[in-house]
Amino acid sequence: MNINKYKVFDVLRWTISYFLIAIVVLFAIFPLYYIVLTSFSKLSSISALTLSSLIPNLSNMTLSAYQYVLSSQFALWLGNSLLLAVGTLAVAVTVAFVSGVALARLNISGKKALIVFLYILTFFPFTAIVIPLYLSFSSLGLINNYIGLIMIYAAGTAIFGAYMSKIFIDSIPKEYEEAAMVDGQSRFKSFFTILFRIAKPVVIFVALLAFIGAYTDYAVINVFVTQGSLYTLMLGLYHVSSIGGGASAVNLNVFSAFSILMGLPIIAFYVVFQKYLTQMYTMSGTK
Amino acid sequence: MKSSFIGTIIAVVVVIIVVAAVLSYISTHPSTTKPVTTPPVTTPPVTTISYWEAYSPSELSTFNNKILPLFEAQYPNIKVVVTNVALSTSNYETDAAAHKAPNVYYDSSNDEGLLYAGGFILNLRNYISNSSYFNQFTSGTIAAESSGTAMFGLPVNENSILMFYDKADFPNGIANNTNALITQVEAINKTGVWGFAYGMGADYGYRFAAWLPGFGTYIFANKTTGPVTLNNSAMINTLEFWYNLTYIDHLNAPLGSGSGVAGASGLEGSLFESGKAAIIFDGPWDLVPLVKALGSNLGAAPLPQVSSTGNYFAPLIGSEGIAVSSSQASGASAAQINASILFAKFLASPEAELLMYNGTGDLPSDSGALNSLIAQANKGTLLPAFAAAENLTASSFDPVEVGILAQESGHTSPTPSTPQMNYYYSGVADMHTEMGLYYTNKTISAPAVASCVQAFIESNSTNVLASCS
Amino acid sequence: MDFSSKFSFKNLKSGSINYIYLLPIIALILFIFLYPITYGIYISFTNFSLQHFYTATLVGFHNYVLLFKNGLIYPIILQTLIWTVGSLVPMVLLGLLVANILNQKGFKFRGLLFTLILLPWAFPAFISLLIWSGMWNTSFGIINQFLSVFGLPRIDWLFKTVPAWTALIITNLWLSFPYYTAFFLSSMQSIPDEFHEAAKVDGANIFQRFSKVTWPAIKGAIAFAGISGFIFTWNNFYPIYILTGGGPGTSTYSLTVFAYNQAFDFYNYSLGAAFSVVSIIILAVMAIFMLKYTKVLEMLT
Repeated sequence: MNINKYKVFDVLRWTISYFLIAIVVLFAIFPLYYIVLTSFSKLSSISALTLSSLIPNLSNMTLSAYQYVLSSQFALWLGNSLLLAVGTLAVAVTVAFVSGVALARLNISGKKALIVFLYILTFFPFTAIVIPLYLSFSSLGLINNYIGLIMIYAAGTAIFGAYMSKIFIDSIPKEYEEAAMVDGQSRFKSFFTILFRIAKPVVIFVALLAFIGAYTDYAVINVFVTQGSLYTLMLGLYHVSSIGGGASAVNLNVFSAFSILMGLPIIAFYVVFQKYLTQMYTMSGTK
Repeated sequence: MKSSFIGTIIAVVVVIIVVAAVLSYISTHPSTTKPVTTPPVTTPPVTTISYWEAYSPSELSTFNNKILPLFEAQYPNIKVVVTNVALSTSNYETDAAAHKAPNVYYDSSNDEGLLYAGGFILNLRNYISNSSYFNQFTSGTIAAESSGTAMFGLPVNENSILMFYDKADFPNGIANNTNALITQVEAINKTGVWGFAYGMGADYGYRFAAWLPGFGTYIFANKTTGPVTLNNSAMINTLEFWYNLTYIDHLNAPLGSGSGVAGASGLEGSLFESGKAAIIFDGPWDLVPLVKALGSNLGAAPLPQVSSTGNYFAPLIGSEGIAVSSSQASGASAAQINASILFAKFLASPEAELLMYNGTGDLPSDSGALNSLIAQANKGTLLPAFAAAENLTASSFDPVEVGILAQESGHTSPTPSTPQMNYYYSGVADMHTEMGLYYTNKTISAPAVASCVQAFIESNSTNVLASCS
Repeated sequence: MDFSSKFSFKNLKSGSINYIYLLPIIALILFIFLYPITYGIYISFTNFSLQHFYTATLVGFHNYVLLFKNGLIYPIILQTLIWTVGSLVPMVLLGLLVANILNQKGFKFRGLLFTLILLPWAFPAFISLLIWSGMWNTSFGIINQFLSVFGLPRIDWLFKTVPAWTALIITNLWLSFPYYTAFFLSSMQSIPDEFHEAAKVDGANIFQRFSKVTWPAIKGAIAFAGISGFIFTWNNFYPIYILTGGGPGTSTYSLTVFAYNQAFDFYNYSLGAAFSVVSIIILAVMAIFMLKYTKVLEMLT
């Protein structure tokens, strides 16, 4: 009887679960579907889509927007964006994880005050610090330079990531790394490696945050890069899709096609790493 | 195996940083704006100047393929490093704060006026000693590029908005006063086509300024200081004119403001280009996409006369110009400033402007060049390359150009080029919102709207917070 | 005791040598944040603007006096709270709900569905917002077209105060709920599986398991994400800037948007800086209060 009750409850639970998820997925992807349709449209404005055109009609579709995008310097911009995003990811993840471990496991005097102080500094919005930051970067020769940009992107993600790593490492019993050390691994290495492996979903999350932040940024790079050869996709997007001239709007179909091509590397990132984000935690290897 | 994870990460970081450093070194070093001297044995020193432009695709290809090679051939000792900047004015200012602004800068006259007010760009009258040089430009473009007696940019084109219409909707030609035009448009409206596709406020008031003179007022009586008299019956009549056309008579498509509305590639353009609207208000800068979309059905005419007042609508006449940065803003040497002025003069020469016209339809600011186009258009022999590329003939294209030229030489108002224009833009954007509220609340608040615009304009000079509430 | 015990875990845990591990992050934060903030505060006491770009002088509290005398700042503070709380609560709740659903053991297609849900977050916000602004358009937007199918009147989404807030919050929910979903899901994944199994053996149902196992393990993460999200949303100006520009009137301005407006549209940098400083003071006071109250501070330190 008890088992029966659970069975009914299980069916109900799964039905509700999938129903809710279906609604959420629709909400999440509808605007993106809208972008996809617009990218194949012959018209360049929002009047291109009506309710009836939400059902794709091949005869009304054209690849001209994609051809236009690919005839631009898309490959150069893509390379630049990936370089920036991967650089940011590497710096942010390393700094965040090392700091997170130090905050969680090491005894550091004055730690509390330091943490609060660093945290409050990050409250200032980018818009409030952009001009002074520009001036200091300018005197250091960091304008039109990816190293400066990577530092800006990494700083925000790293501090957030450090606190996140710290919180999660705190929830991991200390016995794990101590057990590993008894196994005879190199002490220092094992200390970080074990924690890294246990905290991997969080580390991957921080990596994703860093990658997306740098890859999709417009506000920062628009100020710090003016040289065409250093343009990223976001700057290229603005460049390609706006027709220029004071009174004109962006070409929405070109804009959409560009943003879809631009989204492919992020989707690739997901496909590669989503198993870590959704992976069930296992104890294997730590015993 | 897993224990090498940290090591790998650190290795990746090192590699990335090294690669980024090498790449940035390679990419930043050859193109610094410092003067570069070639070995003294061969040629005189080459002066390198930086140039920021915001050309449209057709302008950019004309510049790269036709104009720049010509300049380089004429001035082998000047090297121009060109950057196409997406958003210009605020980028310019951050760079100027670090004394790294470009030597030469291309922007609309009102943005340049803003930069001149901030001390970023030069008064070119102090650098071009032959004062008769400036007489080559049309009076409208000189006014647009001037602040008092100073001239902060050399105009490279002349523009204003006008009416583009679909000839299919106006088989007998388009009327030139509002009563007759509205009668025509009412008939068109019955066929399921919007009379007008005009997003009020969608471009922050640039186009809205055109309607005020039709009802007897201007945004600025004197373009530098005012007096501003917008809180008056003429302003309210202007607002109600468009309100009625949009929300009472339903002749104008209610497009809203916001991004993606104005111009040929916006909502206005797509209604017009797909035959769902008969008239849009746009300028010569959008001629290439309009010709592409409508072909020989494209018509152009000046803005009409207001039947109730006898006045004409008068759009802001402006230009895009070439400004030269002060050495404070760009860190330029005297040689770089001289080279910059030579480059600016070249871009504003009739030769360069006619090349630009041929590729894009941008009207010359040079009177001689403009008059030659007017003569050819009136004779029916004008056929620029961009129109020929769309299979137009001189006889089908020239009426369009005649309409455009008639607006430029007809009723226009000067563009305020001081920071006030900036506040005016914001004021009009808010005004549009207020009109939207008026529509939904059914209470007229036009005087409030007008005073809101005025508050914005006045707040500029006194450094008081701008607010409409 | 043999030699190797000198390098025991305990030794690793003490000593100021451990600062070495925090050095990179301290250097990064000081360089990227501290100097510019100090300079920004300095600007707020000058008359730095377009007209005084190269000739700015100190003017004392002039900008601050202006800001409070005008009175506009009070409704804008309230609007900033509406924006922040109004956005954050639905985001966290939806994120939590979706993460819980996806976290169920045996959930099929989790990878695929999770990836689909993450897409809005992966898409550049700048692009999505321009698309949303088209979708909210009164006459041609797809949202009003949907409404008219159900016989509902068209709504002037971005031109009336209440619809404008609704549109802003829904758009912001779309932009950010995937982030909270991912955050909560990855923290739930960090809970050892046998905790759930043990609870199940004890006969706990799904709600009990949530309250006994999941909640205690992730409540710190939720508090941290909530507070960080509060700060991020408070400072996030793109949605408002692109969708309503602060309108109708000034009714959807937030402090950050207004500061940005003053600095980058009106080139009144000093007034913008003063607005930012006031905004940060309010934010910091609230954040510290929240950090204390939720004990996140203890978690962080």
